[in-house]
Amino acid sequence: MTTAETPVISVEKLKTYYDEGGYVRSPPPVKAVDGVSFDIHKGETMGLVGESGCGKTTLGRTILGLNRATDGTVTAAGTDVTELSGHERRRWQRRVGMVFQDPDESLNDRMTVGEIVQEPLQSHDWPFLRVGVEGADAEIAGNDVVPVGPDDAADITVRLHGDEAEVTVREALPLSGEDVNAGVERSDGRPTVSVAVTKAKSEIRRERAFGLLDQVGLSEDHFYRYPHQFSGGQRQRVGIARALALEPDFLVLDEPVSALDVSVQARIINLLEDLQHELGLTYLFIAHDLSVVRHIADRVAVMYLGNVVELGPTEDVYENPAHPYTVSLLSAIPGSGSPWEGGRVTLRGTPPSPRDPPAGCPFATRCPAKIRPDDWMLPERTWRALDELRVVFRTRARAEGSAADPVKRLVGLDVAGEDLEETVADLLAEHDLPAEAESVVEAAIERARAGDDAGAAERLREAFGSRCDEEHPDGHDRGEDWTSECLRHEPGYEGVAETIAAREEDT
Amino acid sequence: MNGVAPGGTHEHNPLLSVRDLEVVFHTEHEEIHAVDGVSFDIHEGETVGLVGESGSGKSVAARSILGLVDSPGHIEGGSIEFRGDDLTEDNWDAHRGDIAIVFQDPSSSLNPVYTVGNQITEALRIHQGLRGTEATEEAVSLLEDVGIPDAPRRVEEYPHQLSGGMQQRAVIAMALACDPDLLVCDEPTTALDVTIQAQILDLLADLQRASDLAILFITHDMGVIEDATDRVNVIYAGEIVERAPTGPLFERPEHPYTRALLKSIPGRTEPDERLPTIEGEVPTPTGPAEDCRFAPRCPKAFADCERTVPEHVSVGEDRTAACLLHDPAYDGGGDSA
Repeated sequence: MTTAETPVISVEKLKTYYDEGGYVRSPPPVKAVDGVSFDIHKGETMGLVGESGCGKTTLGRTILGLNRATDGTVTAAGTDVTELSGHERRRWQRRVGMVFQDPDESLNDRMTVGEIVQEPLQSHDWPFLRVGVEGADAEIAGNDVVPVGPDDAADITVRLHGDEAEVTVREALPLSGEDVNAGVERSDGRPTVSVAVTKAKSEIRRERAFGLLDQVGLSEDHFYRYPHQFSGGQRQRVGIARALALEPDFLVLDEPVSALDVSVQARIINLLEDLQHELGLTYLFIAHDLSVVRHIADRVAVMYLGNVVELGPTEDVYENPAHPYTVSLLSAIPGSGSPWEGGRVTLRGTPPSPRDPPAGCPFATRCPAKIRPDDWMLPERTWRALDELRVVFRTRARAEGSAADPVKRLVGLDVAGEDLEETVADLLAEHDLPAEAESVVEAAIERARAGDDAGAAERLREAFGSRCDEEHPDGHDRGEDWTSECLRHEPGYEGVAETIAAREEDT
Repeated sequence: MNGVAPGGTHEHNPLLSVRDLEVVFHTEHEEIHAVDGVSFDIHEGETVGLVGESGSGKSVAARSILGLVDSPGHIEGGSIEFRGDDLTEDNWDAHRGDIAIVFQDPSSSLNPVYTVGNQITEALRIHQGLRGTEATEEAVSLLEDVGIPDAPRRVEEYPHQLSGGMQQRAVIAMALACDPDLLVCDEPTTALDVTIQAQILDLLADLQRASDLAILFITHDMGVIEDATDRVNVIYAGEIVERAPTGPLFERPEHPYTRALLKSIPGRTEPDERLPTIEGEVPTPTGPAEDCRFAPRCPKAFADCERTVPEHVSVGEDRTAACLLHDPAYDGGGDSA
């Protein structure tokens, strides 16, 4: 991938937060996308992988303008598209398209396939019938036709040879030169070209829809049928045809094959690759299936909790993952589809809430290669038990708790005590903590017992946390066009793969 | 069956033995033979996979083992023997609790208005007669067994307060509450993320090691099959077309369908290559089999395939395939491999 040319789309420090600002008191916003930057180049497929809830769909939608960006920019052809409105926004929407995961939900069951595919055409009043005149500076006249703008391709080109007008029509349009009559009138020097298209716009749209169905491997009689009469794979083809209707050059494909059986999935993937070559499309391919992404993507961005933690050429990343999260993700692919040679690195727990992401590295709470502080010499198993205890406090702090809790507390009843003892005992029973560490845990439990679970978690973080809990890592270059956001890439630390291997052995 | 038992060679009697199972759905227009002559065995402590695409009948086969096939579906033939008792002769109640099932979507298996603890203690009361504190303590210990941290607190929580992976763990805890000998897992990880899927697969393997549990694993995901099972049955349009120990099946699939299915999985081919595909759709079996149902899509089909129902023949140690290419009685156009 050459980075010299101008990217089709350039995403800079993009943030998308949900639920921001309430009238009285609002919870902290959901940080779905939290500072993402990357470029997408013409003709490439950028894969975007990550677990559900990591913000990959929101990122795709924000790039297209379907979600409002909270901060940052998405630049296409020199314009920040997050700021567009009105006419300019409509124009941008014609250049891009989206294919959704679930064709059942994204296709209206009450419309025929023909209507579905024509809907974007109607909504944008396609075709625009832009007329360009070659050979003279001329005025354009006629119903439904407009002069071509500087950034657009002409649908109808009129070449003037004296008083003769020769008409050519852009190939992609279902229109021939015979459907267009052009004449020239001259008054006071500047010629006026009058253009009349004899085919109705609705007819052109209809023929375009037939053409689209053919392009995605459906036949003419599918035009009159309803989505429920189709198989999953065929419905996804309809979704693709609709996305292509307005001749976009960039598509966001949001899990387009996740709902399909493997044999059907393979055909849709082949179709998407064929269309990309034929039409010169650029794809952002969102998926949680890492094998699919390996097959289709030129570069891959790995997303975790609103951040892109690693980004690089697909084969490089799959062969030699740099970020601990990428390692865990690849090692979790079941069966021989996993490129990871070592044992499976099973992550503990689930990602933290995007309302309350960790202050430092977003992956710090689950990282199998987390940097440990130098103050303690503990076996890895004990570190993990302490991590888990902190997660327990954090989870408790977030849970609403029972409605009776405040009342119980008011009358002096022990709310958290009874089950807390048991949980701590379960977690730490088999571990030999040094006396100092023991007293930190005691202090944390004391706070939790007083109802301050957040404080308890904080106490543990102060004592057992490390740089990973405080600093958001910068991107480190791992090779050409390949970055990874992990503090372990800094000089002086043991490498990610070595650390994980050593620790897995230790547990 | 040409002398090859559908469960491989074992010294002991199988825990579960399904023979020639027929499940037919009668609809207004047609009858659908969703499961059409399926046979397989499961032994104690073993994980058997049933893998196929949607519409292959794998879930219906799984549900019929628990007597969960709803009208208009009926078991119309064959037997399901559990410890020697034929369940289809209405013996389900006698073995209720011996067989448990975990479904794909954990949120549909949990009642949203009861706490997780309530739902587990209910199972404990019904199947083990535990009540009160005893039941609650057992529920907490089950939740701990399935790796839910802070179980004493979580037992008080409602399903919506748990993440998807935690919900599936709770469902597995519920299934374990009846102390089953056989756990039927119907796509238990399909709705989960890959890292959570890895956790659940590890959990199932741990549980099996600890208790000699037999697991029937139903999925469409070949990768999961490869990791989680000891033996595999590949099902296509209601019929098992190949059965084999897991390792050999992946090394050398013998049925053309298995071969095509494995090839169409991305990530196993070179990234620049086009994915090999299987043309056509999985047919809906609307009548008894009269031919090989895969023949219309099979790259190696020959004339006999369209008029003969292939029998399972041995294609190696402990493995069979229902394909005329492997049947010495037919000359299927030369080299079958």
